[in-house]
Amino acid sequence: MEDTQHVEATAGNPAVRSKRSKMNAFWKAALPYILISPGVIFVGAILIYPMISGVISSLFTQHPLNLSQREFVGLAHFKTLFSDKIFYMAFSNTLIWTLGVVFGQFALGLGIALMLNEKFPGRGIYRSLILIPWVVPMIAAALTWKWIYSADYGVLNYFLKQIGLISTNIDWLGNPSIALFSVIMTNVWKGIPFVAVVLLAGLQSIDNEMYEAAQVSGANLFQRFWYITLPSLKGVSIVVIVLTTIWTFNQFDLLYLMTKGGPSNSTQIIPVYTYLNAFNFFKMNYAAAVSTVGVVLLSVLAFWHLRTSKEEG
Amino acid sequence: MTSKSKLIWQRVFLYTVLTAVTVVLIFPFLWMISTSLKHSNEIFTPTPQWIPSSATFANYVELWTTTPFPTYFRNSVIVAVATTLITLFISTFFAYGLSRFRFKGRRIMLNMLLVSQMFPLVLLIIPIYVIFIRLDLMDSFGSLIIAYCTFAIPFGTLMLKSYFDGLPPETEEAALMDGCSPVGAIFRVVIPLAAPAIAAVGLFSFILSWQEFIFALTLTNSEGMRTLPVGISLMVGNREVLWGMLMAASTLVTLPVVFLFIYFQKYLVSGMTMGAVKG
Repeated sequence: MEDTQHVEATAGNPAVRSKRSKMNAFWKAALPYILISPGVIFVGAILIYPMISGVISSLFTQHPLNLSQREFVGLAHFKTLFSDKIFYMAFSNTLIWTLGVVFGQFALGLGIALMLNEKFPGRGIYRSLILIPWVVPMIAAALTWKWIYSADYGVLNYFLKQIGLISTNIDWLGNPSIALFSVIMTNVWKGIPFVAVVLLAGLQSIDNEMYEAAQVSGANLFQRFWYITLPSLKGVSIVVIVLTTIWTFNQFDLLYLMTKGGPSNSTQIIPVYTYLNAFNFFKMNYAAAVSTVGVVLLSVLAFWHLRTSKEEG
Repeated sequence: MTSKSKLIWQRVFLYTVLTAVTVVLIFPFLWMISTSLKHSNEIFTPTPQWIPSSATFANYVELWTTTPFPTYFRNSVIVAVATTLITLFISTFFAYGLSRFRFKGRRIMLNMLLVSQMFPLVLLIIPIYVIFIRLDLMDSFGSLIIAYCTFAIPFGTLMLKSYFDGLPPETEEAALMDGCSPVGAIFRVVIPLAAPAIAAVGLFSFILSWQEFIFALTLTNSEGMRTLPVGISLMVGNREVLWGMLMAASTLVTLPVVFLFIYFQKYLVSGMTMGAVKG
């Protein structure tokens, strides 16, 4: 790309530039590299190198006790994946989980953002309060929801019985047919504030004159929403959906803490299955293969995101 | 209907819906605190008490005196503070360099930082685990601090870069004309101007490392090295589930974050949207 140069110095005043000493010239040439080198070294050593070696390790089999002893096995682990029933479950659960969470967060987050975009007294208090789920650490969120979902003493069962929706207690996390739904609800709860706040920022950047003009020409509330609000939110919505999809797809903590993939793998998703293979079954390289499939799926999204963010920076 | 009464009804509707939504959203948080203040005979009852009939700190006292919770707390503080300091130091300069200078490989570096935000931590942890075993770094504060920097630095760098991009270069130009050295200009002009963004990045990396779970679970194995999330998660399995004590632990891990957030909300929310929208 471009040569090293101080961007604004080239635009600077020549008279000022000539006053600078040789020392300054040296500094100017070296400064960018001095500034970025700690970051480059750090990121290279603890991020880029492990990222690449993580994917590469899916092509090897390592001795579980002597980690430096390894053998090249090509795509053997990926072949094993095709006959691994739990992997298939994890794969389809990951898709259900991701779609469910992203859809739930976006729909509810948009609703809240639209309400908070109105001007009314007390708006600031509501805005602070709805941030709480996002702020609660994952461990506290997971345990609190486990307690709320508890089959015997859980407050959710009590509440649903009070309003007459159910007559017997539901084992929200212990029943394989609803456990995934229960964890999806918890993650929707956790992520709504982020989506709401970002969409609210998007809403506030819409020019009010557009609404006024539409109102003058007789557009109703729904038409204004459909023809002004939604198109104006397109850019920020794409960013939010891409980000929440990536975070949800890679989410490990919540499922591991609430169900560990159970009961009978009904909440097994790719990140948890990766972890269990690597650190419970000590099949590091198979785990890497499981996760690499996820990486490949996500890269499609990642490339798209990179292209859309390229205009900036 | 007159337009005024229509407006009032709209307001009533808005407040009702919004209050209902807010109550649902903060209920788990309140329920956590409420449970933590109850005696166990009030916790395990078929008709839950919304507000404890006689609030007690027994769960907190028990947590603090009979479990290694104080050690977990101390470990979490050490690791989160160290991660934050390293992250601020490295990402401020990194971001400034990426924002103000054009050099070979800059685009690739920015892309790498963006990609790293999308890469599954679970896959990253396998090679990091292998590397740390080879370097004999396992079960140490060092291992956790280094590992937490893997997500804090890219995040902080991108966020600060988008902030620096918004600062006009003329600010440093003026300082340079006054005889300031380029490095002096960074410290005297740029960093003070970027203080809100730097504070936001610091808080984010503190909060991220404070609640990080998977690296702490994998890279530590002795009781004395465990951080809060891992320590608390292991308390679940120790005996029958003591919900009162677990909710007390959850409250103690949550409250510092909530207070930081309330106090710095302005910076955090703008930083959050900036980081997310401009990526």
